Amino acid sequence: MTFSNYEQTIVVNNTALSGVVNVNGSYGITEKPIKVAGVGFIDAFVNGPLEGNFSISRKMVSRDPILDLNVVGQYAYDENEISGSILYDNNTKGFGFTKGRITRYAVNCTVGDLPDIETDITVFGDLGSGILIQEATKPHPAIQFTDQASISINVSDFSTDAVTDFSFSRALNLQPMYAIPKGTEAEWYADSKTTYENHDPIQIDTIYPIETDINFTMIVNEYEVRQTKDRLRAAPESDVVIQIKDSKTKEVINSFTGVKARLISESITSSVEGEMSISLTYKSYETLHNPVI
Amino acid sequence: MSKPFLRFEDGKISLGGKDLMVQSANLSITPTLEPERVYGDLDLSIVGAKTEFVNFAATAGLRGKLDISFVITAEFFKQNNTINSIDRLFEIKDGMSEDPIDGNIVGRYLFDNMYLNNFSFSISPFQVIQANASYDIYGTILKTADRRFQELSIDPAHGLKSFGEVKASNTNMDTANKKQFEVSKLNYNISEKEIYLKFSEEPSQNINPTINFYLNNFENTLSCVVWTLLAENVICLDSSTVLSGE
Repeated sequence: MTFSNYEQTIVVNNTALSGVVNVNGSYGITEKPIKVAGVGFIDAFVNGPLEGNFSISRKMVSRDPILDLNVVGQYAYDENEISGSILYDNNTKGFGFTKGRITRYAVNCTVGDLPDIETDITVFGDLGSGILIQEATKPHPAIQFTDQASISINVSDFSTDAVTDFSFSRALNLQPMYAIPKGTEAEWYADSKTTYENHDPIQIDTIYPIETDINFTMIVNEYEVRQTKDRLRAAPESDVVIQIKDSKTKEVINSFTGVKARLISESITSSVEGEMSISLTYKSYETLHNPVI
Repeated sequence: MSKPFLRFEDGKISLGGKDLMVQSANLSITPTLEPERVYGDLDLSIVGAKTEFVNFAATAGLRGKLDISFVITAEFFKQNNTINSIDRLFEIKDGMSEDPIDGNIVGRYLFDNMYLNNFSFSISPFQVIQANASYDIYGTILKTADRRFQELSIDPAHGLKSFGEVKASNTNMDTANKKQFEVSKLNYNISEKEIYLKFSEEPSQNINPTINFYLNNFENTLSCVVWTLLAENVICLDSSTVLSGE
């Protein structure tokens, strides 16, 4: 029996995701071969924790439930674990994961298309069939569509010309901390399983700063490429704000900000097939509790 | 046609008659030589005699060193065909003697009179437990034919199968610290030191076992007796904490 795309549901943190185009789930075990003098290779043994990867590609058709903020206004996924599953067969079967952490969140858009959202997740807990087979319990955000006239990019130190495409990407480096299994003397002599096998990390640290890359391409009108030596003398910081609004109500669906972003590269393209365009790349850094000022 | 260089697969390492699961070995021999000089003929230009080099002369016996890194298996700690329990693994000193280890083969070399100088191993999560041993060798090293052996499967000590419990004054550390207590790495090390006692010509062996824990919390490990499942009456000598942005 096969299951078509309309028979599958992608659930993350108890919310069914809309606009999903593609989901990939995988896991891997690292092994180390044991080679012994006088023998050579004997066998290979586990040499690292089991970690999985999940990647979800979506079209932006609503407020993104993954982008919930914590009490201090930072993305909750920066520090919190997420869980989810792919459900099928009337939500009775599935492939799920626990203790996932987002390692990359990216939004790309070009004129004429709905914005694409790509989310990469590293799974430190369980991953496989039969895990978290339960329907979404949280209500789904209202479906909202944007169009090219409802997307804006604002850079604090200049007025942008007509933007033809943009990309926004946040990458998180994570450091899982694992511990040696804990058990008791009685368990040792009984040759039984330990109470705490510690197969999952005790703690997962986000390595700050979180780097955000923002790139957009403009049709050249007023903007002029800066001189490179100006960049060396002073690297001006700008707030880059991308707002994606509902095409009908103009309500902001999702907003992405690069705070105190520095322009790190500019490129100019001219061809016989179109207008001259300039591509700008900004990079910003986010800290845990020491705000970039 | 014989191969001039020894292949890893043909370089069996056997110490005290036991074949070990050695992953790397370093054998070095150092002769203690000094130049032997004699006074020569009279040299009128310096109004004296020049010294002349005759030969190198040995002033002490050959001294060698063997460092090995190996996989721990139960067989390694077998005594009289009985596999050691884990208690004996951590109390290696009870199974050790001051007698030399004889009948040692490292690749194409055969030698006796070897003494354990240092033994250590570390336990990390999800890793095969790797042990290291360092030996001092006295006497002659002989050449022998290279050998190999077969080992179809091994059951090495592994971080996934190993566990322990740390107690302070016989109280579980979770309880003693009133918070979660975890060990992320453990290093065990014993070293032998030769101590010359007063009025005694023979050196005596002093064996010092130490355990290093990498912990999340050491409040109650300070100035207390730590008892583990595997080693008793261990006194905490030093606690330190490291913070690094790297």
